[in-house]
Amino acid sequence: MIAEQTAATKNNRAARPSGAQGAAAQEPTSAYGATCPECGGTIRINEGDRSVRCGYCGSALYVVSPRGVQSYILQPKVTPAKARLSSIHYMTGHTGGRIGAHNTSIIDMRLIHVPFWGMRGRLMGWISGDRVKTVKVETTSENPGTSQAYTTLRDDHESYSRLLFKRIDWSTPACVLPCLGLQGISLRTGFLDWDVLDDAKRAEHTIALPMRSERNVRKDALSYLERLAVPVGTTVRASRFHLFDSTFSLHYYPVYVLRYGCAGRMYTITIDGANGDVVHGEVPRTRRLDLKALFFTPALLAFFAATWLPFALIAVAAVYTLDAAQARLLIPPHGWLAIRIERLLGGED
Amino acid sequence: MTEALCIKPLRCDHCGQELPVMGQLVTFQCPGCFRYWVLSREALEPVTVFRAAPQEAAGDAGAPGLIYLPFWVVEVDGAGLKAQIENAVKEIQGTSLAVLQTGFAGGSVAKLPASSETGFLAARLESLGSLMVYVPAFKSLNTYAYLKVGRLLTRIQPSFTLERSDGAGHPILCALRSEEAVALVDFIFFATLPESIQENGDFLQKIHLAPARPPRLVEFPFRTRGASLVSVIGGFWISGRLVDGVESLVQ
Repeated sequence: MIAEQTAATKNNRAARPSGAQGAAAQEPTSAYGATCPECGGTIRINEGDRSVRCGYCGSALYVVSPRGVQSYILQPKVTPAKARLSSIHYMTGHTGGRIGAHNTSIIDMRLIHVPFWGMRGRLMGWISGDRVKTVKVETTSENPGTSQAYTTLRDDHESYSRLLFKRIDWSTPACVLPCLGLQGISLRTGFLDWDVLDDAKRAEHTIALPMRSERNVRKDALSYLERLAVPVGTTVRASRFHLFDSTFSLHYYPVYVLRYGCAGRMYTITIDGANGDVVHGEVPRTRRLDLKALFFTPALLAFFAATWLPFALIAVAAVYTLDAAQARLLIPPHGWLAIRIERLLGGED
Repeated sequence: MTEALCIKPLRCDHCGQELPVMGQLVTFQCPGCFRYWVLSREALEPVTVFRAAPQEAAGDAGAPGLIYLPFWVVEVDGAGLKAQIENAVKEIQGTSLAVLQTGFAGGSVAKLPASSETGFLAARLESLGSLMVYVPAFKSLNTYAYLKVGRLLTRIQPSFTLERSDGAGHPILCALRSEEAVALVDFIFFATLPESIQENGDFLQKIHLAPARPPRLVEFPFRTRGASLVSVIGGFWISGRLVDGVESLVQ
């Protein structure tokens, strides 16, 4: 993949005037795939390139910047079999070899493309405000009879202004992903071959939909930029920002979500579809024998039974109802009792 | 919400000849009819390119050893800007006076530059007639380059003669669209002001520079001196590292 990327970059450089070559060598860019309108061949376009030459038919082409949000998708580099193997290695490694492929059942594995909002560009701006400095001021008493000096603290407000110029590379998850464990992706890397997400690719893949609107995300991005620009210990009176050369896009990143069952419970493991790393994983934990629970639970039941026999039955029924409500699952009473006793005596959680 | 990426054939709208591929640059010269085209957000549009020459050496445009860097020259009406400055001063003075008179606890007295400074600025704008703001359009990875070089040229307000550049020759290495250039005008103007004015946020917040006419794409001559570039017009020096691929631009 890296070799392909290098080749694509070389081809584009060859097509450029010599003036652009030095810059292309320094700037970390990502590339994305598109279709040539002349021959239908796949062309790779480095981000920021406005004109390219088709590697198949040699046509000169230019890219029209879309007004809306452009969507890109990353094809998985890891096969489902490799993802499964990674998850088994993870399970074995994190349970000290207790749990492996033989005592778990993989219920399902899905490839999901998770959306991330991305914004790249250059920020130019100006901010003006006050810098607050706390200074110690020594004052002497005006009373001629005393020569006492006082030290007081005073806030000095000093005006400042700053012109800003920054390169921006910002990304944030476009949907809530607590169970997947994904925080964000770096769009700066040149090793990811993004493809433009068209209708055909949309139908082909399972895609999670973004949950936040473009408007809200733009607002978030701008407030992030403002926070980035404001120096510590200052207040802003006026500011103006402009983002130029900017792109605002949705990037769909592949992850495998694998669910497996062990000792009557379900666990989830998330695997990065681009490099096969486990991003987030749940494994059964070993519970220790809880001596306190082992003593107090039967003692409490015995106390209830001695007071009034139906009390013990009511208490057991209440705990059963509570467990079923929490699990949102109706377990047969004998199965529930077995799980409770097993937990009391230790075992897998 | 999402929009499909549109890729179109790069051809001269006048003679149909294929235009050269320029990577990240947005200007193209047709190899057949030598017309210039600029890529706006949605389409290729014709553009007239000018070359600037110092007034004392008019006709020297294209002299060997020079490199030409493109700038978008945005003309701003000096009288209009002067009126904006005067209005801003009056407005801030009025608001501050009201805050002081009423003793309104929630209000704060807005900051205003010294009247001598605003007066000097207004007088200068009046004498200029129209203010030219120079927005660098060459490719640079360093965003500061746009601010620094634009500020130097805008502060000088140089005199030069313009010659239309439409023959076969060097391509224009313009990496900035005209609408982007217009959006940067305010910041370049602010950068030319003394710090004592820049620090008055309430005042500058009210100043917006509106172009009096569409921006013009002008190439300015520079001479290389070691690792630096010396502007033939204006005589200032900048580091060659601010311009990407400067070594390949020497004619």
